[in-house]
Amino acid sequence: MPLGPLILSGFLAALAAPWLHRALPRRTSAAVSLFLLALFVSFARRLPDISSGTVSLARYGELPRLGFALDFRLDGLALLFALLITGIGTAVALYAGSYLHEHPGLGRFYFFFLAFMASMLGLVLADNLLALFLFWELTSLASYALIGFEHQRSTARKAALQSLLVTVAGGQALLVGLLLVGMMAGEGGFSLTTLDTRREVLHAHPLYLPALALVLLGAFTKSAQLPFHSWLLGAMEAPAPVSAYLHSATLVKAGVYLLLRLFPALGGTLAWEVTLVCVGGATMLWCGWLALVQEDLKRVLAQATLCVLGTLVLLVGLGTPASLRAALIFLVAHALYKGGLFLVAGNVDHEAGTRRVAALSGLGWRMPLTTTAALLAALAMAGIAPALGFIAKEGVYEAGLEHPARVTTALVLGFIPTVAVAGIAGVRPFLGPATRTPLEPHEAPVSMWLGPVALGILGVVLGLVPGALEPLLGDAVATVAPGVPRRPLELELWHGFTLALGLSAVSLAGGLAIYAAREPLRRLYARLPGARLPTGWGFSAVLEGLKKVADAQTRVLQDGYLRHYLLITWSVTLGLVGFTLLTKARWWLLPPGWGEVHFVEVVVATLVVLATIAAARAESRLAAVAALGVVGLGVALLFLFFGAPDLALTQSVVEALTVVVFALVLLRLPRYHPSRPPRPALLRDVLISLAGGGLMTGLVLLASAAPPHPHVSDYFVEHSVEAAHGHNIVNVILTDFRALDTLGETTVLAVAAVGVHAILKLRPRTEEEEP
Amino acid sequence: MNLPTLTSADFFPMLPAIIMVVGACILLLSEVFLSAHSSRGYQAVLTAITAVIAGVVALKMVFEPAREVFLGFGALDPFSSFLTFVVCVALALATLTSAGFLRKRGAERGEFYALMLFATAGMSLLAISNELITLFVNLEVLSISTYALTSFLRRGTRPSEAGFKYFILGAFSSAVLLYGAALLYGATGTTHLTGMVLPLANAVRTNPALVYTGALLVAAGFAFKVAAVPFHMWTPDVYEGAPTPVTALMSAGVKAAAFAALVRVFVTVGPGLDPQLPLTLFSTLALLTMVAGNLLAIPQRNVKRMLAYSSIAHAGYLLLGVAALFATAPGEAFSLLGSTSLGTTATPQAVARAEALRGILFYLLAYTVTAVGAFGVVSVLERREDEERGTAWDLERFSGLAQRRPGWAFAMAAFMLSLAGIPPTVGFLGKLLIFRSAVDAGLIGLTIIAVLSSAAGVYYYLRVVVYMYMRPVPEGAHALERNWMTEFALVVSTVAVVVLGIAPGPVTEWLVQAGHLLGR
Amino acid sequence: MVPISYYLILAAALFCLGMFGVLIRRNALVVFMCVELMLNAANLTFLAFAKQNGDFTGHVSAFFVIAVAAAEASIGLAIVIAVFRSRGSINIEDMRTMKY
Repeated sequence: MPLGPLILSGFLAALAAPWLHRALPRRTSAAVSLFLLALFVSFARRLPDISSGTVSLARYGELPRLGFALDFRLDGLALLFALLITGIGTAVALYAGSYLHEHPGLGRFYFFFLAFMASMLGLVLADNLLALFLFWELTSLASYALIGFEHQRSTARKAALQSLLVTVAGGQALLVGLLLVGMMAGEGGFSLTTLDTRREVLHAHPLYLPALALVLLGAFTKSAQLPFHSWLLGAMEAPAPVSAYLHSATLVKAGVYLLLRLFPALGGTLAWEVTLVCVGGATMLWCGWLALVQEDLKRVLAQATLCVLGTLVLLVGLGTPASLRAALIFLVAHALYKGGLFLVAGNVDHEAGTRRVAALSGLGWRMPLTTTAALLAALAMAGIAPALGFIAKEGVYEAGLEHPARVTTALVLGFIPTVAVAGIAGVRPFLGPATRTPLEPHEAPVSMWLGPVALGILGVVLGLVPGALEPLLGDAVATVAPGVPRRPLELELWHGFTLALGLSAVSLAGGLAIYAAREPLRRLYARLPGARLPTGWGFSAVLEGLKKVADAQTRVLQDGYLRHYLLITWSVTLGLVGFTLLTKARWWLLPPGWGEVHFVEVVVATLVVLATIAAARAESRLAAVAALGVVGLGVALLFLFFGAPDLALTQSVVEALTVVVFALVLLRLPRYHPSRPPRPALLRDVLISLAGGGLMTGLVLLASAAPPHPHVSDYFVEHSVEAAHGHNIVNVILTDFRALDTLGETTVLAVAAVGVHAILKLRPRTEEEEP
Repeated sequence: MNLPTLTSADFFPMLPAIIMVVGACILLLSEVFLSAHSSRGYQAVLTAITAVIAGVVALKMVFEPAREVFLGFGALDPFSSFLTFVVCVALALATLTSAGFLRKRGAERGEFYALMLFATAGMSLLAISNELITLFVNLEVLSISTYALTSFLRRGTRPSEAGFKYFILGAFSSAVLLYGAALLYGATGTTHLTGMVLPLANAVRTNPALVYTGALLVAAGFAFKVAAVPFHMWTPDVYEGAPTPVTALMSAGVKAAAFAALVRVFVTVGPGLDPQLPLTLFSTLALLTMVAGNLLAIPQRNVKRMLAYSSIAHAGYLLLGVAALFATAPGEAFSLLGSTSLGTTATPQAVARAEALRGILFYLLAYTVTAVGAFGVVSVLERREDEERGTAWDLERFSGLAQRRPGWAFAMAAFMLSLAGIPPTVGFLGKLLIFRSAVDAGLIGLTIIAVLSSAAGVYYYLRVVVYMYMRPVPEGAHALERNWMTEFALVVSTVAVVVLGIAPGPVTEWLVQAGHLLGR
Repeated sequence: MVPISYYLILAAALFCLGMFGVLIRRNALVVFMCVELMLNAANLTFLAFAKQNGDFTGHVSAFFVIAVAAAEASIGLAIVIAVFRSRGSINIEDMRTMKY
């Protein structure tokens, strides 16, 4: 089947699953699982093609001007991820049906689970930066719905929101980063295939660093690197299958996937190496060691996942062929054992009724198959032969040994707590004396142990026959490091007595020692300042801080006082004018002399100004109206001086009417409030008004320096009789040449009439009917 | 000698406005024959049909050859025609949501719909205005209609307070705009935008202060209408106090029309000015508007008010698009008129500007269908009794909506995702287009700030979704009445939000036509 | 003949006085009247420039503005009355139902 329909089938299955669940509640889980298995097989069958160098490409519609194209490409890296997504999905789907059985939201679960799966497939198969982003966001949304699946609990709601905010905020940064990358790469730069060939252009571009920073922000939030890691701990509110699938095997690997995918185009620079190694290393060490102090089984595992994600980012940052190879093997091994362990944790929670590490012990004989799965996974996690985890860890150490000793030291220090966590989460609950638990533990149903046991066995089998992984991983490495000649990966358990083996021994011994000393360490940690801070306090603090800032801003800007709104608006306008005058004015152009003034004009002007002041200050209502009338008539007189008698007439008629209407309205309104504004406020307003007056006066003085313009309207004068058969030029312009305005004008008057009628005369019909 | 003659072709661009004015007159006349208790269900339908007809005509005009009409007072180009289409869409959807809203309040009257039609006619005329006084008059048509609509419901203190605040601040900004227009007229001796270009270049040399102050005052007037920070103060109070369907029309239509006029004025006179001026002006406004708009919305628990703040933030993204328009080859002359197909000789700058323009237009359409839909959901949830206490729009009203009305909850979730710019919705594509053109224009820093602020937006939009899907239904929640017209509008908006988000094909094709322009 | 500067200064003064009134007055009606003053001022500016340029655009513009201002005034008055009816006061300091 081509790639597009494969992804589409996932979304269609998501839509169909809730219906199926309603019709056949008991069979849905098996059906979904079989569907995923079919997808898995369909992908697995393409492996020979990929190995022979064929890359499947498919295009389903595009928006060429946007750079967006629904292009898909199946190469080694995509295939590796596609197999992980569908393979582990098969086990998880089978598991979920029993784990959530009789949960009222199971239909909803299937919908989001399958939608997530399809989005994740789209993400890894996309061959276009913007298409990749589209699926990236969809995975965030699906993850949000799945974390908040048990939304009756406020903790689940909060965790869901946190994960969404962090990943979507990172996604927004990623969007701009990808836009920048696409733009920098030039023509066709949004296609990943093209992008890989533009490495030099991108590295030399002045915007390389901002683009890289934005892309990395997206990848780090998704893969829960420091300081964005706490959402993953909160995400443990999700049901166990979700944690196993999204928050260990697939979703959180999307960030790592992006880094691997963009490595050929963006990677290999100093900035890339330093950032990834520092952030990844810090995450690995910090989160790895803090795993020891977690109380909740799932949170212990989540911390260990963070540690692994840090290691992967660090390895991609190192960027040597050996480290990329190690990253890919480690990624596969981790997906297998961590997925298994999360499902085991779900079994324990489901059957024993608690996830508190301290309360769990001696489950072994009562849950033998779950215990088997747990021990197999713990073996892989601790990196003990013959599990695949051992080969992965050896690879990591060998990659580290190519670099300065501090890198290797960090890797060993990062792995030691992982060994201890394998003991805490994979061994400790099952061995030792049995304790009392809320529920009487017994073995989980077959659908719930089959998946984890299969994953555990797969982890060991692949460790024994690592050659089986050879073609797949080889293809993936070839994708990530295209220039490197392809050579066998030398996956085998026994390498002879190498330095890496010695480091393995050191980390194993160290891990066992830490495991033995975990209680004293825990007590020591509890005494540290800051140990009591709740998970995600940084996120809450940022959110609270943002809210406080926002609140303060709202209180300043939107206090509800009309005067303050006006004041701010007017001050800004004045500021703009003042700034322009300061920067653009040419005061030396001011006209010299003042010209002569007619006495009448001075009188009228003075009258207008005085009347305006009176209108603004008047205590009596009628006085204010009268003053307004004087202003209007004064302006009409001024119009007359300008040789515009028709305008003057109109103005005086309108003014007279306005005054009459005002006076009529005034009679119906209450008396003035004698209250005066407080002195400082008054002073401020006066100052602002004076500043405004000064600026405006300066402005118009400059304006008068403008030379008169040629008579633009000669045209109208010449044509009014001829074309419009009119003699009053203004009338002609009004009615004939300016038909558009006249329509607007007529509409204004109609609107005013209807509006006044609507506001004053219409009464709601129900008013009389109400009690 | 050539005599100026107006042919029927000159009136063609006015056709949508004329259709709406005629529709308004029919509604007003029909009101004469009705008693207070007559059924008025036909009025909303009639208004919506009028809007649809006007919208179809506008869409047809998109493919007309661009030209100046009415002796240059108006301009028929794909830009104005597409904007007319957008405001008609806003009107049609807002009208459908008003029928049930008004009936519940006993205030369903022909005058209301007539005023809505007049306002939209004003918006459509504003989009084609190509002269400062024409611009002012048409701006007043839509402003005065919206003042009246804001105070239309007379119960309680909110409508009149909103109306008064809107009126005073609006009249003030009109005065500022007019004063700026007068200064520009003084500097150039003409009020025709196209005719202003040459004298303006001259005036910039002889009297720069006059020109720049005039341009800035005009910009300030428009900044008020598009609710750009710091001219936005009226927005939340007016949006909260106005009847919800009117708020929907204001947030989508008034904004679209004001952006049309703003872009037209500055695209036309911009080349005469210092090339840095429009760029600096719009970048600063965009920056302030995006940051403040999003911050203002964060603490807001009143959903209607939150949507008001969010509309400010969206004006910020649009201003980013406008800034991108002017950042591409600043100072180079170009025109909104222009060929409807990009020739092979088009320069990269012309292509980039066409992209920016297309981004603005698509964003306006995306915002219109989303915001009107969101206000539609708000309007069906609010209850008149709670309005005076201000609790009618509290987030609590959305608690457990997914269980009570899954359809409404789904629609609202789609609108919220679209406003937040999350795929696969139309809002995502709109943001993508705007950000893309901003990045191409080199406004990297501004785009990063846009992205960070929109990440903050995710918080307040998705909080609504959390309440709908993850909270239990509150005790004693009031019954939710259904209304087929509102639900029809919600279905149309939701389908548009989702389908255009997945397959924007047809619209982008129109926009290829609408946004094309050539350097002259 | 008077240089138009005087008219322009007069217009600017009217504009700013109107603004001053808007800022300091507490009575809704007076605030509203002051806004109308500002429109008048803008109109005067138009006409002054028309005089200077010797063309009719300014005249015609002033006509339109007068009519628009009248329409605006009528709506404004209606809104002031609506404010009074709804709260029995036209003090703008009381109009703070909606804030934050």
